[in-house]
Amino acid sequence: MQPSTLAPASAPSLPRVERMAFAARLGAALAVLAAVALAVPLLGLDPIEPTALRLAAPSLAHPLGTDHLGRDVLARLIWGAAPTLGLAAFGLAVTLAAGAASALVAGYTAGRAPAAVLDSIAQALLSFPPMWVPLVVLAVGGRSVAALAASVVLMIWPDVHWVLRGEVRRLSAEPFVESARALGFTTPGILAVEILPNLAGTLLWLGLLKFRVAIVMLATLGFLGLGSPPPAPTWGGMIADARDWFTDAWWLLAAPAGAIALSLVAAGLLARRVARATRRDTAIAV
Amino acid sequence: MNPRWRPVAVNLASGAAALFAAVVALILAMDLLGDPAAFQLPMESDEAARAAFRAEHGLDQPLSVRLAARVTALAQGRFGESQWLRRPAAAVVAEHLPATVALAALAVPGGLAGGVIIGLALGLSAGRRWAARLRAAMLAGFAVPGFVVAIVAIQLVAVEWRLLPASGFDTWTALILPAGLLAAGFAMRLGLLLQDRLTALTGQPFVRFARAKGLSHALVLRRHLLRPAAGLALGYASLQLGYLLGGALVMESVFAIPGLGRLAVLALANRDLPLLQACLVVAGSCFLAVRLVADLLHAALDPRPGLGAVAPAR
Repeated sequence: MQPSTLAPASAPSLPRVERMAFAARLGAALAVLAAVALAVPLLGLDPIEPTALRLAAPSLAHPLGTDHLGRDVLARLIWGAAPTLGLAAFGLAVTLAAGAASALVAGYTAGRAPAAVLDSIAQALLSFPPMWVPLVVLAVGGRSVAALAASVVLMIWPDVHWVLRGEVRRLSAEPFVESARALGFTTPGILAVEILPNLAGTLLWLGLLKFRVAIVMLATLGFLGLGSPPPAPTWGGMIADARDWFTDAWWLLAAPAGAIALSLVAAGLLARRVARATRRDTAIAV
Repeated sequence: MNPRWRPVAVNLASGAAALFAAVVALILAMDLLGDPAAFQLPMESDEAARAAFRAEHGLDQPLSVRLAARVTALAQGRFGESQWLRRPAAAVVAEHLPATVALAALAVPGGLAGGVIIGLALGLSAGRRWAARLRAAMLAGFAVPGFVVAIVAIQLVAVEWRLLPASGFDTWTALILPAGLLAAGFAMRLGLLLQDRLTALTGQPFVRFARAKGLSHALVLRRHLLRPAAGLALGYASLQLGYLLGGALVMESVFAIPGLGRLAVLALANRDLPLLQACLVVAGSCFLAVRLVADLLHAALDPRPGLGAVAPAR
Protein backbone atom coordinates (compact mmCIF):
# COMPACT_ATOMS: atom_id res chain seq x y z
CA MET A 1 0.00 0.00 0.00
CA GLN A 2 1.91 3.05 -1.21
CA PRO A 3 0.31 6.15 0.25
CA SER A 4 2.11 8.33 -2.18
CA THR A 5 3.06 8.65 -5.78
CA LEU A 6 6.56 9.41 -4.63
CA ALA A 7 7.63 5.79 -4.86
CA PRO A 8 11.38 6.14 -5.23
CA ALA A 9 13.42 3.86 -7.42
CA SER A 10 16.56 2.49 -5.90
CA ALA A 11 18.62 5.52 -5.05
CA PRO A 12 22.26 5.66 -4.12
CA SER A 13 23.33 8.78 -2.29
CA LEU A 14 24.60 11.74 -4.29
CA PRO A 15 27.86 11.22 -6.13
CA ARG A 16 30.56 13.36 -4.57
CA VAL A 17 31.09 15.80 -7.45
CA GLU A 18 27.38 16.47 -7.85
CA ARG A 19 27.09 16.99 -4.14
CA MET A 20 29.83 19.62 -4.22
CA ALA A 21 28.31 21.42 -7.18
CA PHE A 22 25.00 21.48 -5.36
CA ALA A 23 26.52 22.72 -2.16
CA ALA A 24 28.23 25.51 -4.07
CA ARG A 25 25.04 26.59 -5.83
CA LEU A 26 22.85 26.33 -2.76
CA GLY A 27 25.47 28.18 -0.76
CA ALA A 28 25.62 30.96 -3.33
CA ALA A 29 21.84 31.27 -3.40
CA LEU A 30 21.67 31.43 0.38
CA ALA A 31 24.45 34.02 0.49
CA VAL A 32 22.56 36.24 -1.96
CA LEU A 33 19.36 35.89 0.07
CA ALA A 34 21.15 36.67 3.31
CA ALA A 35 22.86 39.70 1.75
CA VAL A 36 19.52 41.02 0.51
CA ALA A 37 17.90 40.45 3.90
CA LEU A 38 20.78 42.26 5.65
CA ALA A 39 20.74 45.11 3.16
CA VAL A 40 17.11 45.96 3.83
CA PRO A 41 17.56 47.72 7.18
CA LEU A 42 20.63 49.48 5.77
CA LEU A 43 18.65 50.85 2.84
CA GLY A 44 16.02 52.03 5.25
CA LEU A 45 13.20 50.16 3.52
CA ASP A 46 10.29 49.95 5.89
CA PRO A 47 7.56 47.42 5.12
CA ILE A 48 4.86 49.01 7.30
CA GLU A 49 5.44 52.77 7.41
CA PRO A 50 3.40 54.37 4.60
CA THR A 51 4.97 56.95 2.31
CA ALA A 52 3.08 59.82 0.71
CA LEU A 53 3.08 58.00 -2.63
CA ARG A 54 0.13 55.64 -3.08
CA LEU A 55 0.08 53.08 -5.88
CA ALA A 56 3.28 54.57 -7.31
CA ALA A 57 4.71 52.70 -10.27
CA PRO A 58 8.17 51.12 -9.94
CA SER A 59 10.87 53.78 -9.80
CA LEU A 60 14.40 54.18 -8.48
CA ALA A 61 13.15 55.16 -5.03
CA HIS A 62 10.68 52.29 -4.94
CA PRO A 63 12.00 49.56 -7.28
CA LEU A 64 8.74 47.58 -7.09
CA GLY A 65 6.42 50.54 -6.55
CA THR A 66 4.16 51.21 -3.58
CA ASP A 67 0.83 49.72 -2.56
CA HIS A 68 -2.59 51.28 -1.87
CA LEU A 69 -1.40 52.55 1.52
CA GLY A 70 1.85 53.88 0.11
CA ARG A 71 4.00 51.10 1.55
CA ASP A 72 7.13 50.05 -0.33
CA VAL A 73 6.42 46.77 -2.16
CA LEU A 74 10.06 45.65 -2.32
CA ALA A 75 10.44 46.09 1.43
CA ARG A 76 7.25 44.13 2.04
CA LEU A 77 8.38 41.44 -0.36
CA ILE A 78 11.70 41.00 1.42
CA TRP A 79 10.20 41.15 4.91
CA GLY A 80 7.48 38.77 3.76
CA ALA A 81 10.07 36.16 2.82
CA ALA A 82 10.59 35.22 6.47
CA PRO A 83 6.98 34.13 7.23
CA THR A 84 6.78 32.32 3.88
CA LEU A 85 10.16 30.96 2.75
CA GLY A 86 11.78 31.08 6.17
CA LEU A 87 8.94 29.39 7.97
CA ALA A 88 8.61 26.80 5.20
CA ALA A 89 12.33 26.04 5.44
CA PHE A 90 12.22 25.85 9.23
CA GLY A 91 9.16 23.57 9.25
CA LEU A 92 10.74 21.47 6.56
CA ALA A 93 14.00 21.09 8.48
CA VAL A 94 12.09 19.93 11.56
CA THR A 95 10.00 17.56 9.41
CA LEU A 96 12.99 16.04 7.67
CA ALA A 97 14.79 15.47 10.99
CA ALA A 98 11.68 13.98 12.58
CA GLY A 99 10.90 11.98 9.44
CA ALA A 100 14.41 10.55 9.23
CA ALA A 101 14.33 9.60 12.91
CA SER A 102 10.86 8.02 12.75
CA ALA A 103 11.72 6.25 9.49
CA LEU A 104 14.91 4.80 10.98
CA VAL A 105 12.94 3.42 13.91
CA ALA A 106 9.97 2.21 11.87
CA GLY A 107 12.04 0.84 9.01
CA TYR A 108 14.47 -1.02 11.22
CA THR A 109 11.88 -2.42 13.63
CA ALA A 110 9.45 -3.40 10.85
CA GLY A 111 6.80 -5.76 12.13
CA ARG A 112 7.22 -4.76 15.77
CA ALA A 113 5.37 -2.35 18.03
CA PRO A 114 7.30 0.94 17.46
CA ALA A 115 7.00 0.56 13.70
CA ALA A 116 3.30 -0.25 13.95
CA VAL A 117 2.62 2.83 16.08
CA LEU A 118 4.60 5.24 13.88
CA ASP A 119 3.16 3.80 10.67
CA SER A 120 -0.38 4.04 12.02
CA ILE A 121 0.07 7.70 12.94
CA ALA A 122 1.43 8.44 9.47
CA GLN A 123 -1.42 6.50 7.89
CA ALA A 124 -3.99 8.39 9.95
CA LEU A 125 -2.54 11.79 8.99
CA LEU A 126 -2.50 10.71 5.35
CA SER A 127 -6.21 9.87 5.63
CA PHE A 128 -7.09 13.42 6.62
CA PRO A 129 -8.12 16.03 4.04
CA PRO A 130 -4.85 17.96 3.64
CA MET A 131 -6.06 21.55 3.91
CA TRP A 132 -7.95 20.70 7.09
CA VAL A 133 -4.68 19.94 8.90
CA PRO A 134 -3.65 23.62 9.24
CA LEU A 135 -7.23 24.63 10.10
CA VAL A 136 -7.32 22.30 13.10
CA VAL A 137 -3.78 23.18 14.17
CA LEU A 138 -4.47 26.92 13.95
CA ALA A 139 -7.72 26.48 15.88
CA VAL A 140 -5.93 24.63 18.67
CA GLY A 141 -2.69 26.62 18.70
CA GLY A 142 -4.04 30.07 17.88
CA ARG A 143 -2.75 32.24 15.08
CA SER A 144 0.94 31.99 15.87
CA VAL A 145 4.21 31.22 14.15
CA ALA A 146 4.47 28.03 16.21
CA ALA A 147 1.06 26.84 14.98
CA LEU A 148 1.99 27.62 11.36
CA ALA A 149 5.24 25.69 11.74
CA ALA A 150 3.36 22.80 13.36
CA SER A 151 0.95 22.79 10.41
CA VAL A 152 3.86 22.43 8.00
CA VAL A 153 5.28 19.56 10.04
CA LEU A 154 2.00 17.67 10.40
CA MET A 155 1.13 18.11 6.75
CA ILE A 156 4.49 16.92 5.38
CA TRP A 157 5.78 14.43 7.94
CA PRO A 158 3.54 11.46 6.92
CA ASP A 159 4.79 11.43 3.32
CA VAL A 160 8.40 11.88 4.43
CA HIS A 161 8.04 9.09 6.98
CA TRP A 162 6.45 6.77 4.46
CA VAL A 163 9.01 7.24 1.71
CA LEU A 164 12.06 7.15 3.99
CA ARG A 165 10.74 4.15 5.88
CA GLY A 166 10.61 2.23 2.61
CA GLU A 167 14.20 3.24 1.89
CA VAL A 168 15.33 2.13 5.35
CA ARG A 169 13.64 -1.23 4.93
CA ARG A 170 15.30 -1.70 1.56
CA LEU A 171 18.71 -0.67 2.91
CA SER A 172 18.37 -2.91 5.98
CA ALA A 173 18.38 -5.94 3.72
CA GLU A 174 21.58 -4.86 1.89
CA PRO A 175 24.71 -6.99 2.35
CA PHE A 176 26.73 -4.15 3.88
CA VAL A 177 24.24 -3.82 6.70
CA GLU A 178 24.38 -7.53 7.28
CA SER A 179 28.18 -7.35 7.36
CA ALA A 180 28.07 -4.55 9.91
CA ARG A 181 25.78 -6.66 12.05
CA ALA A 182 28.10 -9.65 11.74
CA LEU A 183 31.01 -7.40 12.75
CA GLY A 184 29.17 -6.65 15.97
CA PHE A 185 27.98 -3.08 15.29
CA THR A 186 25.20 -2.00 17.63
CA THR A 187 21.82 -1.12 16.16
CA PRO A 188 22.24 2.64 16.73
CA GLY A 189 25.67 2.35 15.15
CA ILE A 190 24.29 0.64 12.06
CA LEU A 191 21.50 3.19 11.76
CA ALA A 192 23.85 6.14 12.13
CA VAL A 193 26.82 4.93 10.09
CA GLU A 194 25.39 2.55 7.50
CA ILE A 195 21.81 3.62 6.83
CA LEU A 196 21.44 7.34 7.59
CA PRO A 197 24.16 8.48 5.13
CA ASN A 198 22.43 6.50 2.40
CA LEU A 199 19.23 8.45 2.96
CA ALA A 200 20.94 11.75 2.07
CA GLY A 201 19.90 11.80 -1.60
CA THR A 202 16.30 10.87 -0.85
CA LEU A 203 16.13 13.45 1.96
CA LEU A 204 17.39 16.23 -0.28
CA TRP A 205 15.04 15.33 -3.14
CA LEU A 206 12.02 14.86 -0.92
CA GLY A 207 12.84 18.01 1.01
CA LEU A 208 12.91 20.10 -2.16
CA LEU A 209 9.59 18.67 -3.35
CA LYS A 210 7.99 19.23 0.04
CA PHE A 211 9.45 22.73 0.23
CA ARG A 212 7.07 23.54 -2.62
CA VAL A 213 4.14 22.07 -0.69
CA ALA A 214 5.04 24.09 2.41
CA ILE A 215 5.41 27.34 0.45
CA VAL A 216 2.04 26.88 -1.27
CA MET A 217 0.36 26.03 2.03
CA LEU A 218 1.78 29.04 3.89
CA ALA A 219 1.04 31.37 0.99
CA THR A 220 -2.53 30.05 0.83
CA LEU A 221 -3.04 30.54 4.56
CA GLY A 222 -1.64 34.05 4.24
CA PHE A 223 -4.00 34.75 1.36
CA LEU A 224 -6.98 33.46 3.36
CA GLY A 225 -6.04 35.80 6.20
CA LEU A 226 -4.94 32.97 8.48
CA GLY A 227 -1.18 33.53 8.26
CA SER A 228 1.01 35.78 10.38
CA PRO A 229 -1.19 38.62 11.67
CA PRO A 230 -1.14 42.01 9.89
CA PRO A 231 0.46 44.47 9.39
CA ALA A 232 3.47 42.13 9.12
CA PRO A 233 3.75 41.35 5.41
CA THR A 234 3.40 37.84 3.99
CA TRP A 235 3.46 36.98 0.30
CA GLY A 236 0.00 35.46 0.44
CA GLY A 237 -1.35 38.45 2.34
CA MET A 238 0.19 40.83 -0.22
CA ILE A 239 -1.68 38.99 -2.97
CA ALA A 240 -4.92 39.29 -1.00
CA ASP A 241 -4.26 43.05 -0.59
CA ALA A 242 -3.51 43.34 -4.31
CA ARG A 243 -6.90 41.92 -5.27
CA ASP A 244 -8.71 45.25 -5.55
CA TRP A 245 -5.82 47.18 -7.09
CA PHE A 246 -3.84 45.02 -9.45
CA THR A 247 -5.62 46.06 -12.64
CA ASP A 248 -4.32 49.58 -12.11
CA ALA A 249 -1.11 48.61 -10.33
CA TRP A 250 0.14 45.32 -11.81
CA TRP A 251 3.27 45.31 -9.65
CA LEU A 252 1.19 44.69 -6.54
CA LEU A 253 0.25 41.24 -7.84
CA ALA A 254 3.31 40.54 -9.98
CA ALA A 255 5.83 41.00 -7.16
CA PRO A 256 4.48 38.50 -4.58
CA ALA A 257 3.14 36.05 -7.19
CA GLY A 258 6.48 36.22 -8.99
CA ALA A 259 8.35 35.60 -5.75
CA ILE A 260 6.22 32.53 -5.02
CA ALA A 261 6.55 31.24 -8.58
CA LEU A 262 10.34 31.74 -8.57
CA SER A 263 10.67 29.88 -5.27
CA LEU A 264 8.56 26.99 -6.54
CA VAL A 265 10.39 26.78 -9.86
CA ALA A 266 13.79 26.95 -8.15
CA ALA A 267 12.88 24.16 -5.72
CA GLY A 268 11.39 22.10 -8.56
CA LEU A 269 14.45 22.47 -10.79
CA LEU A 270 16.79 21.59 -7.92
CA ALA A 271 14.64 18.56 -7.11
CA ARG A 272 14.87 17.43 -10.72
CA ARG A 273 18.64 17.76 -10.67
CA VAL A 274 18.85 15.75 -7.47
CA ALA A 275 16.60 13.12 -9.01
CA ARG A 276 18.85 12.93 -12.04
CA ALA A 277 22.03 12.90 -9.97
CA THR A 278 20.73 10.04 -7.85
CA ARG A 279 19.37 8.24 -10.93
CA ARG A 280 15.94 8.40 -9.44
CA ASP A 281 12.71 7.75 -11.28
CA THR A 282 11.76 11.28 -12.33
CA ALA A 283 8.05 10.51 -12.52
CA ILE A 284 6.56 13.67 -11.13
CA ALA A 285 4.85 13.81 -7.79
CA VAL A 286 2.08 16.34 -8.11
CA MET B 1 -11.03 -11.50 6.69
CA ASN B 2 -10.47 -11.82 2.97
CA PRO B 3 -7.12 -10.05 2.40
CA ARG B 4 -8.77 -8.13 -0.39
CA TRP B 5 -10.78 -6.08 2.10
CA ARG B 6 -7.97 -5.48 4.56
CA PRO B 7 -6.69 -2.21 3.04
CA VAL B 8 -10.26 -0.93 2.97
CA ALA B 9 -10.57 -1.54 6.70
CA VAL B 10 -7.14 -0.02 7.38
CA ASN B 11 -8.03 3.13 5.43
CA LEU B 12 -11.37 3.48 7.18
CA ALA B 13 -9.88 2.91 10.62
CA SER B 14 -7.00 5.35 10.12
CA GLY B 15 -9.28 7.99 8.63
CA ALA B 16 -11.71 7.64 11.53
CA ALA B 17 -8.83 7.79 14.00
CA ALA B 18 -7.51 11.00 12.43
CA LEU B 19 -10.93 12.62 12.50
CA PHE B 20 -11.46 11.55 16.10
CA ALA B 21 -8.07 12.92 17.14
CA ALA B 22 -8.81 16.25 15.45
CA VAL B 23 -12.21 16.48 17.15
CA VAL B 24 -10.72 15.71 20.56
CA ALA B 25 -8.01 18.33 19.96
CA LEU B 26 -10.68 20.93 19.24
CA ILE B 27 -12.70 19.94 22.31
CA LEU B 28 -9.61 20.26 24.49
CA ALA B 29 -8.79 23.62 22.92
CA MET B 30 -12.30 24.88 23.71
CA ASP B 31 -12.09 23.48 27.21
CA LEU B 32 -8.74 25.05 28.00
CA LEU B 33 -9.60 28.35 26.36
CA GLY B 34 -11.14 29.77 29.48
CA ASP B 35 -13.86 29.46 32.06
CA PRO B 36 -17.28 29.64 30.34
CA ALA B 37 -18.83 30.61 33.68
CA ALA B 38 -16.69 33.77 33.64
CA PHE B 39 -17.74 35.02 30.23
CA GLN B 40 -21.26 33.60 29.92
CA LEU B 41 -22.51 35.10 33.21
CA PRO B 42 -22.72 38.83 33.98
CA MET B 43 -19.53 40.41 35.29
CA GLU B 44 -20.98 41.11 38.72
CA SER B 45 -22.11 37.51 39.35
CA ASP B 46 -20.60 36.02 42.50
CA GLU B 47 -18.66 32.80 42.94
CA ALA B 48 -21.79 30.91 44.12
CA ALA B 49 -23.64 31.75 40.91
CA ARG B 50 -20.62 30.67 38.86
CA ALA B 51 -20.37 27.38 40.78
CA ALA B 52 -24.08 26.79 40.15
CA PHE B 53 -23.55 27.52 36.44
CA ARG B 54 -20.64 25.08 36.30
CA ALA B 55 -22.66 22.39 38.06
CA GLU B 56 -25.60 22.95 35.72
CA HIS B 57 -23.44 22.57 32.59
CA GLY B 58 -21.34 19.75 33.99
CA LEU B 59 -18.20 21.93 33.98
CA ASP B 60 -17.24 20.81 37.51
CA GLN B 61 -16.84 17.24 36.30
CA PRO B 62 -13.37 15.81 35.68
CA LEU B 63 -11.89 16.44 32.22
CA SER B 64 -12.38 12.82 31.10
CA VAL B 65 -16.10 12.96 31.91
CA ARG B 66 -16.53 16.29 30.10
CA LEU B 67 -14.62 14.94 27.10
CA ALA B 68 -16.80 11.83 26.94
CA ALA B 69 -19.94 13.95 27.21
CA ARG B 70 -18.81 16.22 24.36
CA VAL B 71 -17.89 13.31 22.10
CA THR B 72 -21.24 11.64 22.83
CA ALA B 73 -23.06 14.86 22.00
CA LEU B 74 -21.19 15.17 18.70
CA ALA B 75 -21.94 11.54 17.84
CA GLN B 76 -25.62 12.29 18.41
CA GLY B 77 -25.42 15.27 16.08
CA ARG B 78 -25.59 17.92 18.80
CA PHE B 79 -22.96 20.38 17.63
CA GLY B 80 -23.72 23.15 20.06
CA GLU B 81 -24.13 26.83 19.28
CA SER B 82 -21.98 28.96 17.03
CA GLN B 83 -20.45 31.70 19.18
CA TRP B 84 -19.99 34.00 16.22
CA LEU B 85 -23.46 33.69 14.62
CA ARG B 86 -25.36 32.91 17.85
CA ARG B 87 -27.23 30.10 16.09
CA PRO B 88 -27.11 26.29 16.23
CA ALA B 89 -23.93 25.22 14.44
CA ALA B 90 -25.66 22.26 12.79
CA ALA B 91 -28.20 24.52 11.09
CA VAL B 92 -25.47 26.86 9.83
CA VAL B 93 -23.47 23.96 8.41
CA ALA B 94 -26.58 22.49 6.76
CA GLU B 95 -27.23 25.81 5.02
CA HIS B 96 -23.70 25.82 3.62
CA LEU B 97 -23.70 22.25 2.33
CA PRO B 98 -25.61 22.75 -0.97
CA ALA B 99 -23.09 25.18 -2.44
CA THR B 100 -20.19 22.88 -1.61
CA VAL B 101 -21.96 19.82 -3.02
CA ALA B 102 -22.90 21.70 -6.20
CA LEU B 103 -19.32 22.90 -6.67
CA ALA B 104 -17.92 19.38 -6.19
CA ALA B 105 -20.58 17.88 -8.47
CA LEU B 106 -19.55 20.26 -11.26
CA ALA B 107 -15.79 20.21 -10.73
CA VAL B 108 -15.05 16.51 -10.26
CA PRO B 109 -16.69 15.09 -13.43
CA GLY B 110 -15.24 17.95 -15.46
CA GLY B 111 -11.79 17.42 -14.02
CA LEU B 112 -11.98 13.67 -14.52
CA ALA B 113 -12.98 14.04 -18.18
CA GLY B 114 -10.31 16.65 -18.81
CA GLY B 115 -7.65 14.66 -16.99
CA VAL B 116 -8.40 11.48 -18.91
CA ILE B 117 -8.25 13.35 -22.22
CA ILE B 118 -4.96 15.05 -21.32
CA GLY B 119 -3.49 11.83 -19.91
CA LEU B 120 -4.44 9.74 -22.94
CA ALA B 121 -3.25 12.39 -25.38
CA LEU B 122 0.10 12.71 -23.62
CA GLY B 123 0.54 9.04 -22.78
CA LEU B 124 -0.16 7.82 -26.30
CA SER B 125 1.96 10.39 -28.09
CA ALA B 126 5.25 9.79 -26.31
CA GLY B 127 8.17 11.37 -28.07
CA ARG B 128 6.11 13.98 -29.90
CA ARG B 129 7.36 17.50 -29.47
CA TRP B 130 3.95 18.99 -28.66
CA ALA B 131 3.43 16.42 -25.90
CA ALA B 132 6.72 17.33 -24.26
CA ARG B 133 5.87 21.02 -24.55
CA LEU B 134 2.40 20.59 -23.09
CA ARG B 135 3.82 18.62 -20.19
CA ALA B 136 6.47 21.24 -19.50
CA ALA B 137 3.87 23.99 -19.70
CA MET B 138 1.59 22.22 -17.22
CA LEU B 139 4.47 21.59 -14.81
CA ALA B 140 5.43 25.26 -15.07
CA GLY B 141 1.78 26.18 -14.45
CA PHE B 142 1.95 24.60 -11.01
CA ALA B 143 4.33 27.38 -10.00
CA VAL B 144 1.37 29.77 -9.91
CA PRO B 145 -0.85 29.15 -6.87
CA GLY B 146 -4.54 28.57 -7.53
CA PHE B 147 -5.66 31.72 -5.75
CA VAL B 148 -3.55 33.92 -8.04
CA VAL B 149 -5.13 32.30 -11.09
CA ALA B 150 -8.55 32.75 -9.49
CA ILE B 151 -8.29 36.47 -8.79
CA VAL B 152 -6.91 37.15 -12.27
CA ALA B 153 -9.68 35.03 -13.81
CA ILE B 154 -12.35 36.94 -11.89
CA GLN B 155 -10.89 40.23 -13.05
CA LEU B 156 -10.81 39.14 -16.69
CA VAL B 157 -13.93 37.02 -17.08
CA ALA B 158 -16.28 38.69 -14.64
CA VAL B 159 -15.14 42.30 -14.40
CA GLU B 160 -13.57 43.15 -17.78
CA TRP B 161 -15.55 40.92 -20.13
CA ARG B 162 -18.68 40.59 -17.95
CA LEU B 163 -19.24 37.00 -19.07
CA LEU B 164 -20.04 35.43 -15.71
CA PRO B 165 -20.92 36.64 -12.21
CA ALA B 166 -17.88 37.37 -10.05
CA SER B 167 -19.09 35.80 -6.85
CA GLY B 168 -21.88 34.28 -4.82
CA PHE B 169 -24.24 31.37 -5.31
CA ASP B 170 -27.40 33.16 -6.46
CA THR B 171 -27.38 31.58 -9.90
CA TRP B 172 -25.80 28.44 -11.27
CA THR B 173 -23.70 30.50 -13.66
CA ALA B 174 -21.83 31.82 -10.62
CA LEU B 175 -20.39 28.33 -10.13
CA ILE B 176 -19.07 27.94 -13.68
CA LEU B 177 -15.85 29.87 -13.17
CA PRO B 178 -14.82 28.43 -9.77
CA ALA B 179 -15.81 24.90 -10.79
CA GLY B 180 -13.96 25.35 -14.08
CA LEU B 181 -10.79 26.45 -12.30
CA LEU B 182 -10.99 23.57 -9.82
CA ALA B 183 -11.58 21.15 -12.69
CA ALA B 184 -8.66 22.58 -14.67
CA GLY B 185 -6.21 22.14 -11.80
CA PHE B 186 -7.53 18.66 -11.15
CA ALA B 187 -7.36 17.73 -14.87
CA MET B 188 -3.73 18.89 -15.14
CA ARG B 189 -2.64 16.83 -12.13
CA LEU B 190 -4.57 13.75 -13.20
CA GLY B 191 -3.35 14.13 -16.79
CA LEU B 192 0.30 14.10 -15.69
CA LEU B 193 -0.26 11.14 -13.35
CA LEU B 194 -2.04 9.19 -16.10
CA GLN B 195 0.72 9.96 -18.56
CA ASP B 196 3.30 8.58 -16.13
CA ARG B 197 1.18 5.50 -15.53
CA LEU B 198 0.60 4.85 -19.23
CA THR B 199 4.29 5.34 -20.01
CA ALA B 200 5.21 2.89 -17.26
CA LEU B 201 2.61 0.38 -18.43
CA THR B 202 3.76 0.52 -22.07
CA GLY B 203 7.14 -0.85 -21.04
CA GLN B 204 5.66 -3.72 -19.03
CA PRO B 205 6.37 -7.28 -20.23
CA PHE B 206 2.67 -8.17 -20.38
CA VAL B 207 2.01 -5.33 -22.79
CA ARG B 208 4.93 -6.31 -25.00
CA PHE B 209 3.73 -9.89 -24.89
CA ALA B 210 0.22 -8.86 -25.89
CA ARG B 211 1.68 -6.94 -28.84
CA ALA B 212 3.90 -9.89 -29.78
CA LYS B 213 0.88 -12.15 -29.66
CA GLY B 214 -0.47 -10.08 -32.52
CA LEU B 215 -3.33 -8.42 -30.69
CA SER B 216 -4.59 -5.35 -32.44
CA HIS B 217 -3.41 -1.95 -31.26
CA ALA B 218 -6.92 -1.06 -30.13
CA LEU B 219 -7.29 -4.26 -28.11
CA VAL B 220 -3.93 -3.85 -26.36
CA LEU B 221 -4.86 -0.27 -25.59
CA ARG B 222 -8.27 -1.12 -24.23
CA ARG B 223 -7.47 -4.24 -22.28
CA HIS B 224 -3.87 -3.85 -21.13
CA LEU B 225 -3.33 -0.12 -20.89
CA LEU B 226 -6.64 1.60 -20.25
CA ARG B 227 -8.04 -0.90 -17.80
CA PRO B 228 -5.13 -0.67 -15.31
CA ALA B 229 -4.97 3.11 -15.79
CA ALA B 230 -8.70 3.44 -15.15
CA GLY B 231 -8.17 2.46 -11.51
CA LEU B 232 -5.77 5.36 -11.06
CA ALA B 233 -8.16 7.85 -12.65
CA LEU B 234 -11.18 6.71 -10.62
CA GLY B 235 -9.18 6.55 -7.40
CA TYR B 236 -7.82 10.04 -7.94
CA ALA B 237 -11.25 11.40 -8.83
CA SER B 238 -12.84 9.86 -5.75
CA LEU B 239 -10.19 11.38 -3.48
CA GLN B 240 -10.75 14.78 -5.06
CA LEU B 241 -14.48 14.37 -4.55
CA GLY B 242 -13.84 13.54 -0.89
CA TYR B 243 -11.60 16.59 -0.44
CA LEU B 244 -14.02 18.90 -2.26
CA LEU B 245 -17.02 17.76 -0.22
CA GLY B 246 -15.05 19.03 2.74
CA GLY B 247 -15.16 22.43 1.11
CA ALA B 248 -12.86 24.04 -1.43
CA LEU B 249 -11.27 26.51 0.97
CA VAL B 250 -9.56 28.73 -1.58
CA MET B 251 -12.09 28.80 -4.41
CA GLU B 252 -15.07 29.24 -2.09
CA SER B 253 -13.30 32.07 -0.28
CA VAL B 254 -12.16 33.87 -3.44
CA PHE B 255 -15.55 33.60 -5.13
CA ALA B 256 -17.51 34.23 -1.91
CA ILE B 257 -19.46 31.00 -2.40
CA PRO B 258 -21.37 30.21 0.81
CA GLY B 259 -19.96 26.69 1.18
CA LEU B 260 -18.40 24.58 3.89
CA GLY B 261 -14.82 25.61 3.12
CA ARG B 262 -15.49 29.34 3.30
CA LEU B 263 -17.54 28.78 6.46
CA ALA B 264 -14.62 26.95 8.07
CA VAL B 265 -12.19 29.75 7.18
CA LEU B 266 -14.59 32.37 8.58
CA ALA B 267 -15.21 30.30 11.71
CA LEU B 268 -11.47 30.09 12.31
CA ALA B 269 -10.94 33.79 11.59
CA ASN B 270 -13.66 34.57 14.17
CA ARG B 271 -12.30 32.02 16.68
CA ASP B 272 -15.67 30.22 16.59
CA LEU B 273 -14.50 26.74 17.57
CA PRO B 274 -17.93 25.06 17.92
CA LEU B 275 -18.78 26.07 14.35
CA LEU B 276 -15.38 24.97 13.08
CA GLN B 277 -15.87 21.66 14.84
CA ALA B 278 -19.26 21.13 13.20
CA CYS B 279 -17.66 21.88 9.81
CA LEU B 280 -14.85 19.47 10.59
CA VAL B 281 -17.16 16.63 11.59
CA VAL B 282 -19.28 17.03 8.45
CA ALA B 283 -16.30 17.49 6.11
CA GLY B 284 -14.42 14.59 7.68
CA SER B 285 -17.44 12.29 7.55
CA CYS B 286 -18.06 13.12 3.89
CA PHE B 287 -14.43 12.39 3.14
CA LEU B 288 -14.53 9.07 5.02
CA ALA B 289 -17.77 8.01 3.31
CA VAL B 290 -16.56 8.83 -0.20
CA ARG B 291 -13.24 7.13 0.46
CA LEU B 292 -14.97 4.02 1.81
CA VAL B 293 -17.19 3.70 -1.25
CA ALA B 294 -14.19 4.25 -3.55
CA ASP B 295 -12.11 1.68 -1.67
CA LEU B 296 -14.91 -0.88 -1.73
CA LEU B 297 -15.40 -0.40 -5.47
CA HIS B 298 -11.69 -0.60 -6.05
CA ALA B 299 -11.35 -3.77 -3.99
CA ALA B 300 -14.30 -5.33 -5.81
CA LEU B 301 -12.87 -4.47 -9.24
CA ASP B 302 -9.22 -5.30 -8.52
CA PRO B 303 -9.00 -8.64 -6.74
CA ARG B 304 -5.23 -8.58 -6.17
CA PRO B 305 -4.74 -8.71 -2.40
CA GLY B 306 -3.06 -5.73 -0.81
CA LEU B 307 -3.79 -3.48 -3.75
CA GLY B 308 -7.47 -3.02 -3.12
CA ALA B 309 -7.38 0.52 -1.85
CA VAL B 310 -7.04 3.96 -3.22
CA ALA B 311 -3.75 5.56 -2.34
CA PRO B 312 -4.01 9.16 -1.27
CA ALA B 313 -2.20 11.36 -3.74
CA ARG B 314 -1.50 14.88 -2.70
